[in-house]
Amino acid sequence: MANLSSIARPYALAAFEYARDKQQLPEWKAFLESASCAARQPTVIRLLDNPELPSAKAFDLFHEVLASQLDTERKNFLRLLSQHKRFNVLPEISDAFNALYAALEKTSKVRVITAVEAEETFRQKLAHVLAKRTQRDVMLHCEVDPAIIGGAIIHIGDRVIDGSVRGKLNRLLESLTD
Amino acid sequence: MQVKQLSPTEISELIKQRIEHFDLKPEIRTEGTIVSVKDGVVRLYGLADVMQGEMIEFAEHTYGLALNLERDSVGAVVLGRSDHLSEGQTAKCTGRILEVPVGEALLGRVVDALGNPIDGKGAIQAEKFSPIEKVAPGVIARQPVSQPMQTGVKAIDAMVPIGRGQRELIIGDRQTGKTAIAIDAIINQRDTGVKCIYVAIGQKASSVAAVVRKLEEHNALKHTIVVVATASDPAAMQYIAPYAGCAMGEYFRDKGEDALIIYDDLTKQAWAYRQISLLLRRPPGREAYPGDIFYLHSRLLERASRVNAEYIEKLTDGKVKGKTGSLTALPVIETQAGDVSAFVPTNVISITDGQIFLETDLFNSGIRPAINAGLSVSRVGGAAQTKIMKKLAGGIRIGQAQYRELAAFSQFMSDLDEATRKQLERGQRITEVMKQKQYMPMSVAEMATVLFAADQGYLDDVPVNRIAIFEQELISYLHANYGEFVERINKTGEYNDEVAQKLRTILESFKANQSWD
Repeated sequence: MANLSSIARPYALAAFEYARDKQQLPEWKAFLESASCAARQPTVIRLLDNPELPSAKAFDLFHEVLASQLDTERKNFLRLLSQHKRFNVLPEISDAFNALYAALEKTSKVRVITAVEAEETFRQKLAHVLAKRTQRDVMLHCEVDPAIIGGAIIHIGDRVIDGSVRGKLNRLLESLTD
Repeated sequence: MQVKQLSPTEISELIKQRIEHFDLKPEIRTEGTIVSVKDGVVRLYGLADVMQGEMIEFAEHTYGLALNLERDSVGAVVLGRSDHLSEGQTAKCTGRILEVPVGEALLGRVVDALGNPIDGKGAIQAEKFSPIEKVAPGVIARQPVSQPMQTGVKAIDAMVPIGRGQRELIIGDRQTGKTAIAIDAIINQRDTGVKCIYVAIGQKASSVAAVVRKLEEHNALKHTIVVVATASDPAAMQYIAPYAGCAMGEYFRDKGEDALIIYDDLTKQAWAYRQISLLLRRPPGREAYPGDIFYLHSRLLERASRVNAEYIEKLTDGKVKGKTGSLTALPVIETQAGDVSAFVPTNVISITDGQIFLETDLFNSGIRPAINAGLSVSRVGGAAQTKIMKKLAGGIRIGQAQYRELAAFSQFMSDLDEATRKQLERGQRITEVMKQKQYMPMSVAEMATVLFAADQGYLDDVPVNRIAIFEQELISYLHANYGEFVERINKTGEYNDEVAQKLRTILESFKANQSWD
């Protein structure tokens, strides 16, 4: 996906900077998310992949679907995408936009995997500790995976803090068989 | 190696110890996802803080080397097989640079590019590990090359002498005897204490096996490490093999010993690196090699050096004092149809301190080793020659080069003047003297005696086709009757009137009493 995100970056940055200056960040975020949601539909993907599809038609389609969220600038944004035939990178644009937004708001998404359903107090405590550690607001996203036996695995971006029993057992195995 | 018998208590004791020292803290790591795997090259998404050249851990203890750090992805080569890797799997940063085992335990062993034994002689108990990529010693740490590295090949030690710490290129077409020279040089280090490393890159496994067997036969394997990345190994292994071998050689250099490393051959390594680079989508340049192909070889060969005693003392924390260390490199380059002006040959020629140029025509006309005297040079070895060799072999290279030219011209001339005829005769005899059989390296005293005979005209009345036998008889006569003298010359390498007189006596009595017909 390396290529697509390289293409998406300038679009996302332009949209982000424009939205930030006009103080319309939430609206743009919502707009890009719904647009990318539409672009992710298998039927839409198939349609966009069709080389015979006139670019105006694709624009009309998105225009119709997103009508409620469009103002002049967002319409121009869609027009630009249609001119360059870049509707297929909408998901990446949305991701890049969200990353920029998160950096501005100092929030980060954290994936927490536990063996059993995490309790509310634990979540709050974890969010608090992680917020202190990362110096950001933390949005917890909890998952349950019994295969890790106990403890928790925390994903913050690329970084992984593995405190699971499964991980410890694996490392013990490695140190014994080394 | 013998398998040690472990009693059950020892095992459980060991396990207990390991469990006690087991770190229970959560592991913090950086993870990425495999986006694509093809031809041993993996593209990863994530791994934002991976370092260039860092090891990456894949599933099932497979490791890779991060080579391309791009904005949205990381390009890595897999060290080993990659058929079990697939898109979507996670990969971890290790925070480590690739390391190989080093030390005495490796001597006499055959290992792959990662230092794993492949000779079926059991595990290697290496006490130390060393990163494969290291910065070469700087200017302050170095010392000029001043000790000889005797290859035992007359033609080399006489015409293109090699010093300890020198980089001398062996270049020539296929089947011209490049490996033969390298193997002879290793065999000749049997009693010198010089440790040898033979790095076989991209060769047939059968050729490597033959080399190992020959070394074993000549009792030369016990001071040698053989690092192998055969033609069937992944390109990544062929690419790192020379660096791994170099790290093993540096271990000896850095503890005040002398080591000799042979890269056989760097052309194949350049091919492997070209393959990796193209698969990583680096822009191709001349002959489709990437832009950093020069640096590939220059950083490797720069690590071959002679370092001074202070450097050794500092590295060993004062344990080794007053000893210099050296790593001599003999890289091998294979040319195509004698084209030394191709990209990689010119690069390596310009990096090294001279080259030994082998020619197919000479080889086919029976001149073996097939060294072209005109094109072969040694830029620093002269300063390292022993006195006796310097004195006796001084003019041979230039004389041979002139003789070859003259011989080519004289074919068109009908009658030759006396001076030219004499020069031709002499050239013919010297050419004959420079011939040498494979696996028969010679000591300094042996060479000196033969060269003295040629220099002082003792060969003038010997028919050209009998010179080889004359030489053979002379050497056995020398050993039989003048053992003490041989030992002395081998040890000191001195030359003075007394030595000259002694050599004269030896030759005169040999010619008077022995036959060579």
